[in-house]
Amino acid sequence: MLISIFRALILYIVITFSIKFMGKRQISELQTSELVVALLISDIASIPMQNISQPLFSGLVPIVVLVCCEIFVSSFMMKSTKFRKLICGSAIIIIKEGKIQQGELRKLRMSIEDLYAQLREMDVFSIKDVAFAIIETNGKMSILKKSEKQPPDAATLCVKVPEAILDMVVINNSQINESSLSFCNLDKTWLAQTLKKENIDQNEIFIMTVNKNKEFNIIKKSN
Amino acid sequence: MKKTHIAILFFLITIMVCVTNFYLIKNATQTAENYLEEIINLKDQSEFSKATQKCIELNKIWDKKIKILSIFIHHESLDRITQSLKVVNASLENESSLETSKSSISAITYLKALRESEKISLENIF
Repeated sequence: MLISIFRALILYIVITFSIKFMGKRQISELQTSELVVALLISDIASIPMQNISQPLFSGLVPIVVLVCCEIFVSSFMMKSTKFRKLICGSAIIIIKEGKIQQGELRKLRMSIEDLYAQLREMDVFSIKDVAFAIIETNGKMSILKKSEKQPPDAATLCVKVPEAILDMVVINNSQINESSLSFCNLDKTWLAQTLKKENIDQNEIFIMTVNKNKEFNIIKKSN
Repeated sequence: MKKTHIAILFFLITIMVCVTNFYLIKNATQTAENYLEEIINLKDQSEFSKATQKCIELNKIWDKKIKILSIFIHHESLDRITQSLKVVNASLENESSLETSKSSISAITYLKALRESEKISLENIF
């Protein structure tokens, strides 16, 4: 059983590193090749983890080979559009200028119910509101609503809006995040001064956010 | 270092590990097989004490090699060979010619099977 612990730990580290190495993506955004590798890795890793008579290398070697293949394939896909199209396919337009492309739906084996369900998930409750709907290579649907159905934005309304500023977490559970501080062009001295001015100790802070305008928000730890 | 370069490096290391594994198995099984053939010859000449000495030597060598081989090979197949080598040793100590022949041949068969299973051939791939 002790061996299983070591094996599980080694495989956990290898898989975590492998997935990180392949690139940070959500499962729903996986391309075909990535999905295949993710499924295979999880399956391959479980065998030597459970069966201690199987050498660990019999699991590690295929994992490394699969991850390397995935990197090579994705690198080659960046260089060759034809290869990318071969592996990932291409985006398919299923609603074009408000008209459902029935042939494309048949090719995708997608029923009208599936189409409506996906539209509803995107807060579209009438097909008449959609100008274009595209099934992306990762299987997700993107839509472009008809101009009259799109909510007006500041530019359309000719309204001047303040510039969007990103709030960064500089203290998380009493721990200072230096990269967030430097992102806001601030340093630890400013932080110490601010905390002193606010008469609060760093250890009392649950979360502190700051933006580039030096506007901050502090949430204290609860008892 | 680019990600592709790291992948190439890892891929090459993996290939190197696999090639090393192949040669380690080939070397270990071939050595054991030669020893066993020698043991059979000595047994045929009724030189049981010399054959026993050879077998003890072989078991010692195998015990050393198994430590490295178990990193790469399924432990059960290695255990099977170890067990059959012990049987050869026991039958030689009992000076049983028939048992020695039987156990030596089965050990050689296991060694050959192990070596063959690592060869890059169509039957192994498919």
